[in-house]
Amino acid sequence: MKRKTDILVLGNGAAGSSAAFAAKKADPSLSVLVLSKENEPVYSAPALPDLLSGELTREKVLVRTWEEYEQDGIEVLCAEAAAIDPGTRTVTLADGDEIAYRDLILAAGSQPIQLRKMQGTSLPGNFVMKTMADIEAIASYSGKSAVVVGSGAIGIEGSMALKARGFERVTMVEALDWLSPKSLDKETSDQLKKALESFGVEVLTGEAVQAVLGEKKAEGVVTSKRTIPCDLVLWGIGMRPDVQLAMEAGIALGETGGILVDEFMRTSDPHIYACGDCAQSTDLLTGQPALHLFWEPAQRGGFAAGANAAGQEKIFQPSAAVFLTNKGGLSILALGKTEEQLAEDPYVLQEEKDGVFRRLLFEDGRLAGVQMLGTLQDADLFFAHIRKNAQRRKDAWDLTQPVPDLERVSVKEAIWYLRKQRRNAFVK
Amino acid sequence: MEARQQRILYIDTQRCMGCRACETVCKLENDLPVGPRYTMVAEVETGCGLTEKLNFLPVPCQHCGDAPCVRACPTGALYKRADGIVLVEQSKCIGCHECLMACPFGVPQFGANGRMQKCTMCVHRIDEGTLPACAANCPAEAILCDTPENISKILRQRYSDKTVAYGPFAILLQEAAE
Amino acid sequence: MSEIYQDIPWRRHEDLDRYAVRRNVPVWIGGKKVIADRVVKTCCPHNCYDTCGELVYVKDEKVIKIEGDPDHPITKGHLCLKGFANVQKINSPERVKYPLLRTGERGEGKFKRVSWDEAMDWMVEKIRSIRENYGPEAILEYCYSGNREHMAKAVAARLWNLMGASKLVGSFCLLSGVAGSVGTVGSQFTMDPQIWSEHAQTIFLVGRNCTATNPHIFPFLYRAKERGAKLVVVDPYATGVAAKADIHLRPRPGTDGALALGMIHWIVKNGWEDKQFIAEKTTGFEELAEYVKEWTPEYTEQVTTVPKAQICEVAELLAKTDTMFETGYGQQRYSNGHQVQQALACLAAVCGSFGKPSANYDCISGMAFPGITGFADNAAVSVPEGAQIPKTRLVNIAAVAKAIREAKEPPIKGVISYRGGLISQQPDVDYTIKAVKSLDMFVTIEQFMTDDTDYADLVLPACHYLEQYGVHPSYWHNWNQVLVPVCQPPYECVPDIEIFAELGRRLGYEKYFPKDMSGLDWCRLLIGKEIDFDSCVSPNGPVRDPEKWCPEVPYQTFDTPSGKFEFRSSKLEERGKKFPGHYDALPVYYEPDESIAATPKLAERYPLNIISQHPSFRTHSQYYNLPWIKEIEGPARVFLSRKDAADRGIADGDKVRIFNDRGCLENITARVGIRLKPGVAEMSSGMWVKLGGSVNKLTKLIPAGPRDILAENGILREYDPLLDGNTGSYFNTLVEIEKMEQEA
Repeated sequence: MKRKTDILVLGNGAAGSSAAFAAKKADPSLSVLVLSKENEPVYSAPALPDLLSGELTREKVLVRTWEEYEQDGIEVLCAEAAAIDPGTRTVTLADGDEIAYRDLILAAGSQPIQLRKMQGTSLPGNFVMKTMADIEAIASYSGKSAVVVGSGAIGIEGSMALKARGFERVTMVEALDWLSPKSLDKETSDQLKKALESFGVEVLTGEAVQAVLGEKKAEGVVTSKRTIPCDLVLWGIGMRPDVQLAMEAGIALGETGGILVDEFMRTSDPHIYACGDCAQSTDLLTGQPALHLFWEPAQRGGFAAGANAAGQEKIFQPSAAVFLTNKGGLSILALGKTEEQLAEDPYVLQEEKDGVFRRLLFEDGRLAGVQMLGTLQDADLFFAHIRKNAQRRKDAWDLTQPVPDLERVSVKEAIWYLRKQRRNAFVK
Repeated sequence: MEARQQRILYIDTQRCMGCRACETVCKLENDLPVGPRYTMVAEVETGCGLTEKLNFLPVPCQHCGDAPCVRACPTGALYKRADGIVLVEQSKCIGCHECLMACPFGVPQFGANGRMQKCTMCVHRIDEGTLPACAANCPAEAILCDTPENISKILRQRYSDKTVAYGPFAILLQEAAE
Repeated sequence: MSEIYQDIPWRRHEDLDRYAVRRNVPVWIGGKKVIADRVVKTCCPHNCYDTCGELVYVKDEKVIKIEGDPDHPITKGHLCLKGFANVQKINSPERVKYPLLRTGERGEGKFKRVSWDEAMDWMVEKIRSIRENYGPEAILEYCYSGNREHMAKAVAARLWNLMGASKLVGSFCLLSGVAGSVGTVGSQFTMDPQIWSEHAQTIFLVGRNCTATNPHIFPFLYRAKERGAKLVVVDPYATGVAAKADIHLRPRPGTDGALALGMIHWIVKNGWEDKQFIAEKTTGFEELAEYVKEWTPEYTEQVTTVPKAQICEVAELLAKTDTMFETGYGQQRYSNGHQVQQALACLAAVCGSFGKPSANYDCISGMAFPGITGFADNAAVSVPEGAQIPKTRLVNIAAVAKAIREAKEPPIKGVISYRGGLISQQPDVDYTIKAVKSLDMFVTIEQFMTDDTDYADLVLPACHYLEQYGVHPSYWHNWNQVLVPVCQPPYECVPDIEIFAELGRRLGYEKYFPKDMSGLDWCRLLIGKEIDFDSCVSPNGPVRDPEKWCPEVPYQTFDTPSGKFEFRSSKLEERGKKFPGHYDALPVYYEPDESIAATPKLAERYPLNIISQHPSFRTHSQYYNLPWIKEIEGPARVFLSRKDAADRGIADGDKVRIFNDRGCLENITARVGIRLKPGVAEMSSGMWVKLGGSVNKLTKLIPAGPRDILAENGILREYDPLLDGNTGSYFNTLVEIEKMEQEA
């Protein structure tokens, strides 16, 4: 059976649903059809750990209701696409049905990296935290001890959630020298380890998981240094953009592996857009191609893709990579450059006091990165400065100003100065 | 480039007589509809009785040295070119209006697409070696576009370099003589 | 929705590319380079001193950009704000695109589209019927200065002459002043500003709002100032040029003549008059000296409200330095207007400001009336060889509404109007509308649906000036550029001369309207004998007018009956013996028709004298409807003094009502400040009646002299435009202003 639609959206997550609603808003006369793998309206993936910990209910995790889709005239088909033919502008479903589109928006998202070749990773008891179904599976799996692999957002939040659920023993295992070294300096990682330990999570670094033990189900993991018995293994070792269909359809990919799009979210095909985790982004601060696997740019990118597919010309502003977790009493933020990335004239100001840890990284007197635990205060101020400094053009006058006397100021004084600079932009 | 070598748009208020030709030549040059006004002539009445005075002041972008709009812009869309012209890169502009809040003169204009646009000192003409449209057209020759050094020379020629005593210096000389 | 525009088989199609100065010219539009097909030289024929040289860029027969012509030594490649707005005007989607025939009542503005053939048939039928029933004098053209070039008027005159229609004569903007000047000086000339800016020691600028009507004078004023010259400006209203003056005199409106007499008194009393000039080049000085004895500084201050110290200071300055008299037309827009100019001319003569590069006199250049002076051979165009031209009556445009209402034997039944806003620009709107409603036929040729089209029976789609030929020598500087069409007219618009030529052919005068006469041919016929014509036509031009018509330093002699400057005007005296009016030989002062001094009882109810400048935003009522202009001008405003506002509880920005016995304007924004003295209010002219701001709802139909044409209902058998006047006395209008109550 073949059917037609003006706008076809593959994916119903942050990007896909935003694209659908934006397309309808831009031009209500267009027909918009969404293919959703899961039989759910769009829900907040970042809130899944709270669902796991019991802090939130299912209803609270949903971002939209089915009524909202209906009200806006957006049709949702619970189905999976099997192939895309850009030439005839047709998408073929897994069950053989075909859908002809005027414009296609790819929002397939990303999939957790799973080490299929490692021993024991297919046993029951191995979990990822990607979908509602995953959470439900974890919640209904009985166990007393868990191993969490990875120290990113999933690792941290997963550990905290399992602890909150009553797991007696939760061990975080990180293969690299310290926690999330791409985002955190060692000093920050040490603070994070302390914080996690204060919540009863064991933290092991410099140890790689080599196998999962067990016959009928997971019973423990073997690392490079020891064996840890456990009932449940939660994997949080990264995500990969889901670009299989795009690749097969001949759509160009970027160097990061995500679908290559321009600032209007257009792919190499004039009638196909891509947004969200599956699309390659540009880092706001470095200007380099990047994968931003976050809710906010996915939603924004979806809005742009949807509006543009409906005939508008919205530019998608790049995002910055933000390492941020604020759950269950643990908050950590890392943004901008780490110490080893600092270039000209680097300087680091650090302070730990009353459970608040702040680490400000400067380049040539100007804020280039920030890492902090135990507070999120002034995050907007730091972001504004980091962003502004990262945007400096070589062919222009530099109207930013360095923080004077860095060697002699405290963190508090430096922050005061950054605040004054921001306010002075508006002094008339 | 040094500050004194930057270009500025200077209004000789002793000459501006409020004809507003600069307003429409700017609209035409930049193909502007009703809405964005890159330059606007202010009519300023001051004084009372014997000191009454009427002055006119076109206010294009001042292309400030320490441009508050550039400092306020969160995305780096606004920048001050090496030759001093302050420009906005449209694709980076998110229409947040912070530049409007920072500018003391109300220069940033917002068009139908929500992004900021403003006087560019006719950068397309400057790069070609001609003057901005307003300066090229002013019937009173009141708009000057040049470095401060050169503008100073022109103004001195207009107002200080006198064979017949006139203007503020004449008053000073007269008082000195008395 | 696309409309279809019919081909007009009788239209002339010309190759306009031959006027190109350059072809395939890159030009900036919105930061992008566009290649224009051609750029053409022409000039602006609006009623303005500057008559700017223009370069117009055309692509696909559309005007895409316009600039000043840098080859023009006076306008120097600069244009006013309207110049650039022409791109918006000529391309406006609101232009009248095809003929429209009225379907509703006059004033409802309801029309249906008709073809040109239908329109012509309708006009021919109407004209024939009016002619049959009333005779040809029942037909009258209405034409003024919307496009002030002279060639089309002469071609139309050919038709009116053949038909025996009534002839429209005179002006309602400046001829009273001209009469005062011609009576004393004879033929009118101006001196090139390039000369006086280099030599004059004082510039005396009267009744001239240079920012709005003469912006290109400023480099010359500033050059003079930079050389040390002083600028004295006389104007009740603080204008842009007044703001640049060393001394700004603000006389009570209508008393500029008294001011001049007061200054003459003071100069003569102190013996500062230019005795040599007076002895050698003037007559009648003793009589003037006798007359001005009563105009002491105290008395002059009483009449004019100008402080006597200022009167004396300025009088001394004018007499003791070489003064260039640049007079405008504001001071003569009162019913005593001719006296004002006469007095100013006498003041200039007392100062010896004639015939010198450093001191001369400018009222207007004779080039303003090229047909009268002879530079243009009007008769060659308007009086066809071999034709019998019946003698006809003359209708003075300064009283045209009166004439239409009062004409008998025959009445005026049909008016064809072009290049002028009869309803929006004539004084006393309601009176004029009644006149129009009494017509059997009212045809307008218009670019937009204006106040006039609302009342028309037939609206014909007019061409913009950039789409027409024309001859328009400036009446201030001495440079000439023939107008050529820069692009083909759009839609079904037809140039004025082609409309009249075709109408002429359909009325049976094919012989006199040959199809092979182009606009350029008519122009050449008009001025080809007096000037090297081809050098004035794009790609060439502009060209300096011949010395014969525009001497470099004029007024070294005077072509008056005595051959001298006449303080006591023999011509005016002679004329006054034959015709009713105020033909005083001496510049005797009398109060304008409506003023606090002349009509004190009226002034009790309406104590404010409202004057109306021509603002930079418009030429009369043109450009008013353009989006850019509306945005820049803002809503209608009236300027008040602080005292008058305080007395009425009006704050700056309040909405006010302006009214007198003739009409009422509402929702006008009050602007309170320093620009006026108490007793005077100012509101820009030219705003459309239907958009709510027309000052002519308040003004009175009372033409300034010398000739009292109202006594003759504006219908004359004999008329001398240079001696009889007239001017619409817009400025002697009394009103009251009150704050409007806020709606709950």
